[in-house]
Amino acid sequence: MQEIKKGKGSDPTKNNKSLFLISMLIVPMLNFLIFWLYVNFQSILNAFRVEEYGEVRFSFINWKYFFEDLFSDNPYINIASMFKNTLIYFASTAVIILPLSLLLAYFLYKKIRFYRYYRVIFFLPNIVSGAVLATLYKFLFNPSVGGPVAMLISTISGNPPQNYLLTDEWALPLVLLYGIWTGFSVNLIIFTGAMGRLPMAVIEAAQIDGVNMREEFFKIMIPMMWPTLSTIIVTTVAGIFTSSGAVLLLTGGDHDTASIAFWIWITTRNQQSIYYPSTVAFCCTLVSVPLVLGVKKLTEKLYPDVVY
Amino acid sequence: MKRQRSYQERLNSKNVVFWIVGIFFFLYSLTYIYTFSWAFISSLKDKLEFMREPMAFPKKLHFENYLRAFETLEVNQTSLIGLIFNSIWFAGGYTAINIFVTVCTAYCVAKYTFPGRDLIYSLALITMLFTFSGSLPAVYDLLGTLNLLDTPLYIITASSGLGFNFLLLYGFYKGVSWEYAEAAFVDGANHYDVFFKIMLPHALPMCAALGIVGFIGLWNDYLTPLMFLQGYPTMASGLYLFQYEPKIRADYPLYYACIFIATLPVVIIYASFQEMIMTNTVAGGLKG
Repeated sequence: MQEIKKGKGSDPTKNNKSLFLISMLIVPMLNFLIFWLYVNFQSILNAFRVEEYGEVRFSFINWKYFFEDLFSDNPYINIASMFKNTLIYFASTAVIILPLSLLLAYFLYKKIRFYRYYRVIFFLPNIVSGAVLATLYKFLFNPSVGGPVAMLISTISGNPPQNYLLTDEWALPLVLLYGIWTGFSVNLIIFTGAMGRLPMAVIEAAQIDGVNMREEFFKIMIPMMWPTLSTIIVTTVAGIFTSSGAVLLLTGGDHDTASIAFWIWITTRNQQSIYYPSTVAFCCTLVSVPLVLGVKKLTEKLYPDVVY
Repeated sequence: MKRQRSYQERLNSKNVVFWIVGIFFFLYSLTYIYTFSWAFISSLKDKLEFMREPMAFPKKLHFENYLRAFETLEVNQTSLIGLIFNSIWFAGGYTAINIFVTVCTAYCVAKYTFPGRDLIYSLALITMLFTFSGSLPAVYDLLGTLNLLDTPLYIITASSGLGFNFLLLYGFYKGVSWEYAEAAFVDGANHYDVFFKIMLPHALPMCAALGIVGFIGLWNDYLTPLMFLQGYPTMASGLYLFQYEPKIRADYPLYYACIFIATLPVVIIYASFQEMIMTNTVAGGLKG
């Protein structure tokens, strides 16, 4: 048989394949290089820069300001309080919202009465804009627009109605409550989807063996759902310093509700200097990256042998 | 030995738990129903009536508030029609670019072997897990330098091709047989033919589902337009900005009407495509 010499120029399929792959992948690769690699590289460099008299130069001065603000009582920026709020918001997500979402998903999975109707209603916060929900929530507590909740509280307590979101006392709890009120639906969908994919044979076998609900939930479903569950846990930890929306909509950061992520967002939007927020953000990243890696390692250790 | 609870005992405690949870579910769902009903009723009030008696049921149903919203509402000199228009090209354009680039990337990484292929897949995971908190100021700065701020051209940043959609489409393409492609190559097709005439159409249901979910997400997104498209408010960012317009203080029912105008399209879209979205976004082969 005649052997066909395959040089690079003589094989049309090979040439076409390289050309094809390059043309298909060049846009996403450029996007990655510019908007992820370059941007994150710059964000690290920005932590060590300062702008003075229109010139940008290398400096540690923002680090000095950061440590000063952390321990002083700066009336303009209360960094320590923002860290505290960030932790509080994160704790509410990790300790209240995630576990409750899991429980709620479980009962929907068990087809509690009217579960179809509940599924639609609980999914609502996902389809409705945060802007809408937060505005309605704000109005509920605002007596000057006739907010029913404000009126109700006023009637029960006997005090004159006030806008509770605008008080130092109630602002943070109400922001937390909003997070809980709307926080279930995102995770609910993912968890019910994951539960729906679990093999019925295993679950039914366990029920025949007489397992009760608690055992079924903790010893069978959670281990089988662990890939999804651990991914959600890791991504929640990864987002600790980057989620900020509700604060902007509800209080604009007033009354001590600002989080670090919110402050970085608002400072950027108001086009104040980008270098000080970059320094603070860099410190946050120094904390969050090892944290994410640690949580990832930890979650991989649990239930590694579940196979079905 | 621990006494095994009888079947009846277990059934009873199960019923009690279900009752308690059922009540909780019912009350929780009531909070949503009440909030939206109250908002809808408020949107039908006359503006003066609203100021005087905010809690009362409207004497007359002013459906014309919805029409008035189209006429008088203005945010940053953009009318309501303008807000809707901005929402459409922002959500639609960004989603279209994003899904198309992601399909191309997922297809190549799933079906072809080439140096760097595994790297791209790892990058997809890394970019999802590791977010640098300081990237926002840096992105804003970069977009300013590139003149991509405050212009519709901003949506070309949608072309990342990675992310969760990439993982889903990758899983999908992994499950697609290569035989179709081989048959086509034998018939003389080139790689582009195979992709555009066979493989891309194959993925259309999933793309449509992801596209709808993406569209709804961006329709509702207020943070991105507020930051990067300040001159082009969308419905979501417009709703936020409108709170600070002086006109609203005299006309809250108009604002409530606007809320429903913003929400109704996405609820209808979602309700119509619910089944299709559910079936097409099941991650191919992903267990648990």
